[in-house]
Amino acid sequence: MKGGLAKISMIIWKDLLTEIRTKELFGGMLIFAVLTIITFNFAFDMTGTGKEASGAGAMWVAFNFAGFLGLGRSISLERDKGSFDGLLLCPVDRGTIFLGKFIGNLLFISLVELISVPIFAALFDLNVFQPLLLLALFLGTLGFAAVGTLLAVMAASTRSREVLLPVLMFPILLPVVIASVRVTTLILTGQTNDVGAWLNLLGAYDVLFLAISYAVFDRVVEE
Amino acid sequence: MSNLSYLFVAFLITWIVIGAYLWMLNRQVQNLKDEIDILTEDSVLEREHFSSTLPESEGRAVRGQ
Amino acid sequence: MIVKGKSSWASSLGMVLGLLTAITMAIGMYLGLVYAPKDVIQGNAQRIFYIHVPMAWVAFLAFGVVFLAAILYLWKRALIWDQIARSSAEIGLVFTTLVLVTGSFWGRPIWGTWWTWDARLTTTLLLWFIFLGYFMIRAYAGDRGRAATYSAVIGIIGFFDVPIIYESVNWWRTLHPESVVSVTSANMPGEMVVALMVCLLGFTLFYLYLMIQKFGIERMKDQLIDYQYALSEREAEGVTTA
Repeated sequence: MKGGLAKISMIIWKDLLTEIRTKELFGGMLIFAVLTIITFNFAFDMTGTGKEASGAGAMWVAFNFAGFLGLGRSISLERDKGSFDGLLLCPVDRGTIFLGKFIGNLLFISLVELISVPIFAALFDLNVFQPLLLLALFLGTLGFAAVGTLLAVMAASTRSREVLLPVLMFPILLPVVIASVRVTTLILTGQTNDVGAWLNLLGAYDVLFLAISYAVFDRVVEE
Repeated sequence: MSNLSYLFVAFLITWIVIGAYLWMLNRQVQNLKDEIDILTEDSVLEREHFSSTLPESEGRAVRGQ
Repeated sequence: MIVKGKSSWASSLGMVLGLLTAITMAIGMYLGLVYAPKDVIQGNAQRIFYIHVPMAWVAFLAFGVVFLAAILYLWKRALIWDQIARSSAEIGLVFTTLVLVTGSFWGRPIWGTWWTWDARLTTTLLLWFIFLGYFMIRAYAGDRGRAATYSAVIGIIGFFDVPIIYESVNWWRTLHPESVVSVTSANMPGEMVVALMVCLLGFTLFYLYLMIQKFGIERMKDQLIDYQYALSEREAEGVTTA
């Protein structure tokens, strides 16, 4: 188990280092997220009573789109350079590789959120720094990263991968989108009665799909 | 009774689509059989390769023997 | 030398099934369109129900078959499971499309709108997208093995996803309830139940018939690919030994 943890950390660290050196992904994701949020401000009425609902939607759309960008590009870069094949040649359990990739993606998207959320809070004058909301953010991102990592690896070895990934992810992720937006709206408007149920749904989704992705990853990277 | 027109169109579309799909499947079967025929024209042995998917095999005389 | 095989068995089964399907469907259509009473509230448009519901059942049945075949393919690696999966997926896609269309034509005179985001319709729409994803990834995957593996993953994940989608849309809508007009079995007169059951049976038989046809086609396709591959290998050998 210790060896597995170390290997996972190495995979994460390698991706982190690559990103720090090239700075390709992170900047793009961040700018994309902020631009989306700003666009939403002009698309919807952000001054009236619907501010919380529109804001929640805006935030999640921004993070999802930035997430698609990040997921797709990180895997394609690796595939194109051949470093993914190199990774597969190492005597590492496939599940471990998946976990490493998954946590790496989770960290990237979370980092983008970390910076975008305060900007979003300021632009829309919404108090998003509540523990339940941050929990919802984390759980939603977790589900996104779990399914996204698996599907991105699959899509990356195909032609037309940028188009394919969102199409594949959209139906699978819908429950996460619904739950996350709803929870965020509820918390922002102070209606906390149903929040527990939604968070449970998110948690259950995360556990289920993390398990499935972990289990099938082996088959997916077989040549 | 305009409700009837919705009923009519719904049924019409359904049966047209189903009919078209059945026709498509039939055409696929024909095309594949033709292709198999062309490929196995000269050899009895190859014909056996496809034996389990050719329903009319039992009625055909064997060529090229 | 005449080649017989389990082929003749499959072919007669197909014909019998086809005949049975046609008869059952014909009876079902009569029951639904003539025998069953006109709905008091919804009028004759309600009769769309007799094809809409059975087709929805078939769509989800087809998806279930895809799920099972996908698991078996990932486990056993035998191409037959992929042949079953992709056959069922194609049939499922066709029927899901028809469910959405007939649903719209049912909804328009009743609700006054072509579409509403209730749990059932939304889930069916998402199912359509999952089927689409299934075929898209096959189309872009490159080689046969990868197409089979990747689409199997979509089939498995999608199957777990569908009930979750349904539940989350349901919960979401409890805050925005809209009247969902349907005929519940609690107050359906006996004639309607009979008509529905016969149509359900008819469409299920139809699914089985289509499966046999499509599966045969997919099997032939794969055999052709194998054969052409073997042929090209033999030619390559012929060159080297000549």
